Amino acid sequence: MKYLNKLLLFIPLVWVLIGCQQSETEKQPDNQTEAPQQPVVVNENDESASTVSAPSEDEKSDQPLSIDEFNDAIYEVVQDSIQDAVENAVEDEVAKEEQQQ
Amino acid sequence: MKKILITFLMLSGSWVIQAEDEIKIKITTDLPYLDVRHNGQIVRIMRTQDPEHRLTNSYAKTSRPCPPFCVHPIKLTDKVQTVGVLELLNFLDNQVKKGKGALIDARLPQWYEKGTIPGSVNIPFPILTAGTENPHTSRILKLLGGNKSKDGGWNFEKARELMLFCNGLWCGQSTRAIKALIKIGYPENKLFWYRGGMQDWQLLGLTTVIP
Repeated sequence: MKYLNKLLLFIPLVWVLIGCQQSETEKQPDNQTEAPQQPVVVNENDESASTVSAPSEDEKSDQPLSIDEFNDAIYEVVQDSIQDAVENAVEDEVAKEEQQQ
Repeated sequence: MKKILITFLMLSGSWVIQAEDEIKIKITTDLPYLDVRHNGQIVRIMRTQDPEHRLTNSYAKTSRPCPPFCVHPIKLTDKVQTVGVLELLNFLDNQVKKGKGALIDARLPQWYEKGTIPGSVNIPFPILTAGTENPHTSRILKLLGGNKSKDGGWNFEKARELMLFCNGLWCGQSTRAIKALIKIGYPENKLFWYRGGMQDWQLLGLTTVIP
């Protein structure tokens, strides 16, 4: 019985630890391709330490977007095109009315 | 002591298995569901678990006037692959998840807003048929991985693979989008067509999301 009590205490603890580990894993972004915005110092103590520059705009554009970034960017274009279409339609209607008057 | 331990482990294991077994209507024997990202959230694609479920929405309708709602052939072109539900799920789980592909709902926004396939992105076909001189079309092509060369042409060597769909095999919105992409120069071997569209998807009771 002594061991059973210890076991019953130990197993829920393991379950909780596994659960925490899984939730931490789920929090990780799907695509960790975001480039550092600031220069990164490789080794502060080394006199010959070099500095790695943040990627240029061109380099950034070559990097694949994450799923969410891609979807957001597409959504933005679609919304802009809808907005343009609405504005054009309104302008057409106004022009028609002006012609009729 | 050993017996207690074994019994406990068996019970724990069966609890996990039971959760999977609760899905009685699976997609395939080995695939009960698929989790995908949609609008920044994880959405589970699975079939409706009610065996009495019937469609009552617009996809229950069998007959629409042709033209314009005519039945499309199984193959759009020689190189564009026509796919079904399982190929679409595989595409979501691989190409889309790895950022190498995009599942495109080519319908107009008013259709898209009624419900779409989780993991898809809406690019209404008129944006693609507008031509490369249109600034919105140009932005979309760049996001898909196209590169505009100095002579004004487009290079799609590094472009994503695209799978397009619309309402069903009587719907012309995705076919118009695919034909427009081919005209622009998008490689046909990077284009896939889910011909069954939303009607096929909903006939299987698969999850839809309202954006």
